[in-house]
Amino acid sequence: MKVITVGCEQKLREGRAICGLDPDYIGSLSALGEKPGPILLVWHGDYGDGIERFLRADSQHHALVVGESVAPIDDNEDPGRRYPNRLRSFRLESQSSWECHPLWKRLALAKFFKSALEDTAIVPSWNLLTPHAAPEFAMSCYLCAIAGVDPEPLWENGFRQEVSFWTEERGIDVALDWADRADAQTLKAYLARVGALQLVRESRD
Amino acid sequence: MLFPKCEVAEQAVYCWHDIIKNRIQSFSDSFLERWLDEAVNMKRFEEALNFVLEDLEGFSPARAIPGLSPFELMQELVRRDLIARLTKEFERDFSVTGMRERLRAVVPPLLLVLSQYKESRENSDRKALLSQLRETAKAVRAEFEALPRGFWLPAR
Repeated sequence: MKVITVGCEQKLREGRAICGLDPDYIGSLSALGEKPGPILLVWHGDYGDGIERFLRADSQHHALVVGESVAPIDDNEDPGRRYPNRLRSFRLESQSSWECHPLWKRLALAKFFKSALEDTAIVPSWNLLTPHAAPEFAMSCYLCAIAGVDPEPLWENGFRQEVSFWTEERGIDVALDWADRADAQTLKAYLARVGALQLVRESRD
Repeated sequence: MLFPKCEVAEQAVYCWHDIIKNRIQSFSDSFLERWLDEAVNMKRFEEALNFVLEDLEGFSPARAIPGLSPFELMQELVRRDLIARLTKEFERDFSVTGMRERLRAVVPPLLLVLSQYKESRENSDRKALLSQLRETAKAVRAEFEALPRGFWLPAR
């Protein structure tokens, strides 16, 4: 899948950035010579006509709206309902540098772009941008710690991303680092703080 | 935001809290009779009691692994080793055999009363059975309430 980022921050260019395109040009992309195939447009700014035209031009086109005040977009209501599974948003506050963004957002976008840029990608993996429902990596490390097995090294990015999410978005103020990955006590305390050890609701009255 | 769902824990809580505490121990005789007369209620409760009795191994945290996506990135051999070790830890600490014996002392008597209640026709029999039901259910609640509320985790 081809990825085009428009008006995005410099660092938001894991896709092949083409900056400065105007909405009319985006809307006429599919008319350029041969059929270009699936394109993911990453639009930094408000949702508007340019994106509408782009999506209408080809059913293989997808768009991600990134910005500080973007409203969540899903398939249940307009404009997402008009383009099922083709349009999403991702909130990204304006920061002085890319490094100032929460780690989980940077990692999520990087992973998302990497997946979208694969030649075989036809539909972007929107789920990679979904906030974490549970601290799965911390849980997995904890189970490994109980068993005395080393956590999988490939988990490091996911682990850091997850901790960043719970800190930034959920206000969990317990520091947890990848270096703690084999420390059962620390992991358990963290999971308890996050509320992940409340396995069945205690209060069911 | 929970650990992967522990089915046996859910069923245990359903039995002791939703049914025993909130119905058998709370309803008046007439309400309880009405509830028991609904075959679907009785069947669901009996199934849950049997499920807990038969699947105490379901408390093992090894059962949580398929529900955690990071383990998809782990090599099969390592994952199997992890499951074996977790199972061993669980069996050493949880004592499934002893726990099952304790539950076998209280669950079958309750199931028997439920079965007798279903067969009963006389009002006087039913009243006596309701009393027995409350007694046997009390013993089951005490055991079930002490079970883990999710996957077993070490205290340390």
